[in-house]
Amino acid sequence: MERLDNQKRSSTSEITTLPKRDYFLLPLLSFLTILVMLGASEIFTRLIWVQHKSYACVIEDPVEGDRFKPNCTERTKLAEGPWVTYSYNECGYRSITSCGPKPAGAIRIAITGSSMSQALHVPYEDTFFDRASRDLANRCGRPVDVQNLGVPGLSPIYAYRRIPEALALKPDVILYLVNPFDLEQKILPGELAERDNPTRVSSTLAAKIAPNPLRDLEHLLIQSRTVLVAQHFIFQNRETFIRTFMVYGDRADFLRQPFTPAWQQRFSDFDVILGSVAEKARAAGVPLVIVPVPSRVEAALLSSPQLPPHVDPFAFGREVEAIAAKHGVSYLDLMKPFGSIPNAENLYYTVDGHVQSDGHKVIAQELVRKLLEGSVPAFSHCAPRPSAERSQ
Amino acid sequence: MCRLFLIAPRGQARNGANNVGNASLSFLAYALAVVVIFNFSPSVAWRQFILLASSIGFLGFFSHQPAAFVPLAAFLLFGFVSLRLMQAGATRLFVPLLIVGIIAFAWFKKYAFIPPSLFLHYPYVTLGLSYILFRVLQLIIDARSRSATLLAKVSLVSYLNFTLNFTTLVSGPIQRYNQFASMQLAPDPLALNLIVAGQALHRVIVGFFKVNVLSPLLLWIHTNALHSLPPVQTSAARVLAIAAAVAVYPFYIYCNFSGYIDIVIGIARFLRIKLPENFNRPFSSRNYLIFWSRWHITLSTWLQIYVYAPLMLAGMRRWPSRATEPLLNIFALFVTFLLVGVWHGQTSAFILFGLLLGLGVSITKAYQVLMTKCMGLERYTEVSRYWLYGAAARGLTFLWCAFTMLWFWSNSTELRSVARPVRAWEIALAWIVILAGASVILALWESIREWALSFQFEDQPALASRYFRTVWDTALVVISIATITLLNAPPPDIVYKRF
Repeated sequence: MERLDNQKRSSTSEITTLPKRDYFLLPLLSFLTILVMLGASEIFTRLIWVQHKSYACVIEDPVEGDRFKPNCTERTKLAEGPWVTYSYNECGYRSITSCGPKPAGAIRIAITGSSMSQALHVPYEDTFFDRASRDLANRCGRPVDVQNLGVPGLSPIYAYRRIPEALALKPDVILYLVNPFDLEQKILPGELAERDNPTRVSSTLAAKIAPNPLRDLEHLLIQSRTVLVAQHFIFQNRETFIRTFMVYGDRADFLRQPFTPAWQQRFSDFDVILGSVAEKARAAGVPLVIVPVPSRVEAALLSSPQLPPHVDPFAFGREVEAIAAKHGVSYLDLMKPFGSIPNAENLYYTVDGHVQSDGHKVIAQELVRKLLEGSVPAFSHCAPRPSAERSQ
Repeated sequence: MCRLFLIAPRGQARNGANNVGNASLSFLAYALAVVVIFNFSPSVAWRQFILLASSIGFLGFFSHQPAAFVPLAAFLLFGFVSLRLMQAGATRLFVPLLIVGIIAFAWFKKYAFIPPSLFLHYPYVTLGLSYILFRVLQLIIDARSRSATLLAKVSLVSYLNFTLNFTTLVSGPIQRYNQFASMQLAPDPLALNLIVAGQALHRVIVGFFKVNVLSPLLLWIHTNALHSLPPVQTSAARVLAIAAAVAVYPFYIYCNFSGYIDIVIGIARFLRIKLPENFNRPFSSRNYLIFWSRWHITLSTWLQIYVYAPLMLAGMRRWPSRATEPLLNIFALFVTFLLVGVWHGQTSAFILFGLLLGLGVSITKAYQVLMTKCMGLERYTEVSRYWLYGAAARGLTFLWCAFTMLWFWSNSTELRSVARPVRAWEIALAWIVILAGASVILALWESIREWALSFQFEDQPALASRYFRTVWDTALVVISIATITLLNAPPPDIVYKRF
């Protein structure tokens, strides 16, 4: 260093003005450095962290809500996850069985909701519904057929519109998975009143279609694999993840108490929607179970020794539970089992935020426990879970 | 825990203070504004006024309550009055003033040996008081000494600019007044051309990278290593975790502190002031005495002048024998470094820290004296030059440095708690791993560095050329900005990317 410093000092004393070429060369070098850094890091991360998207099976429908093509198969890979094959049956549901008439002696479960319901980025055999159906089939001594109507991005109002379709399957129970992100999707005034007349384009979808350069830039950054990899490592640190998530305003307000007017409105809208769903299910004599799936930040907060001020990770679930109780809907609490797992945030894909295989295992166990409790008649004859297994 | 060395991450986490006091973007923005205004005019009056206004403005970020600054103002006033008394020839007040100054400092800083009932029980600002103490003591001592060469009478504005200079207030470096005044009060300020500005900017960029990227990363490794110590781990994992937690911490402190120093040296250069260097590759030191001549250089220099030298002088006067000189030397070093430790914090842990520092330098000195006596100076110097000896000596120096720094991030009770799930032999093995690892890695680093510097361009190492520095600095800026952005931007929420 002395040598380096001495030479620096001597060179400083000798040179007092830059050669003319440097006025061009130095900025050029700087610019090239940025280009090379960005390019090299992007190429490197794209080679190591492969991601593959597919839209081959998607049918976009701004009125009825997106759905999947019947009898379609596609493979995708999330950079943080494994390759996943999605196979859709003749109704476009992520199910390995037919959506035709319920097989004799079988118990049928219909699932609705968004990406959490569809088990996005999770191989079929690891999904909560496949694990649960296998376990239930063993306990009940009867086949358990699952028809998964879940579609990523399906907001509560669209999920409501799919209820008649779900009921047409003659299920023994309907599971409705919901998470804070589903409720975030905006519902315009009037849209709720016209929920049974889906003739106009949803405000959510309209917003997607409207040009927005800022959002395009954000999408460009989201698509950068370098950013994704950096975030993957940074957000493995629970404290950093929680601290930065709380930077969000409205998006994080489902954690803050008391709820903001915007979130109160969302819960009020959801109250109406869930009431209507429950009404239809009741009319058809089908039990309905609502399953609020904790988000990654809620799970992280459950493991955190210290909560930020006014933050309550149980607030969202508590509110949904109250709405469910109001409409006589069964409620599956996942916060307790998630809270009993150290570092529960590791049950999720760090950047993507969806629950991964280990998390689906926990959901499956709790779902089986809930269904065997006796609230769903179809499972009343099945063997309850042994207590030792329950605690696993 | 010493608050003075920890500039960014822990400081922020601990007291939740504003961001301006740290090596943050806000601090750089503030400094940039000051630099622009400061360079409007080269006149001394303008430079004095802007430096004073910016330093007071900087303090204002830490509290908006005037009462919070009363203790600091009182201490500064005491210093100025003492200085004037010394310059007026009231030398019999010299010792009482020094004692009062040190007691006032300990009182304001709430040192543990003072009964808490005596403390001021309202929130007040003590930012930079530890460094202000050194500057005030230095002025009083130099003003009293006949051999001192204080530049005429120190005006109140010069005194305040010297003691409160916002670039050196938080964590030094500790500048000598003469050095400061020769630049700040010179009719022609130091030249600031494009080359100098480029070099100053280079210091700022490197420092910013050290504080905002390397420091958090090292602290993260240190914390994770500590968290991975539960007994469920294997012995090998525990040994590695202890070794990582202990060995990474000195590098964290180094990046944090030297990074801050790099930033303020760069900023001060834009303000036409050359601040003294405070670090010179300390981990390449082959013994603990050299380490302290390369680590926090301005602190050790200050203590060498104002503690070590007077102690040696007094000892030699009392026992004027060549035989006692080595013993006096060892004693003076011990006392000096004990004070270094005590100065670092208010609790008893820092007395232990000081004892360990004193022990380290005393044993090193005693070893040198003994080896010179046994082998002769020439042979000892020759042996010291061996590569293997150098590597082992470097490793041992690092080991002691890492050991003493245990009391920086912890105290004895916390250390016992950390060590509880670990067996004694695992701890011993971890220290051996650190010694061996440091010896090999630091020796390799030295060799690689030598090799890298051997490439020449325009009669200097290519690494020092402005072309390489441009590339290097650009890379550091990109990484720093990306890191800060990612660490402060919210994580992506679930986005229905498929649709």
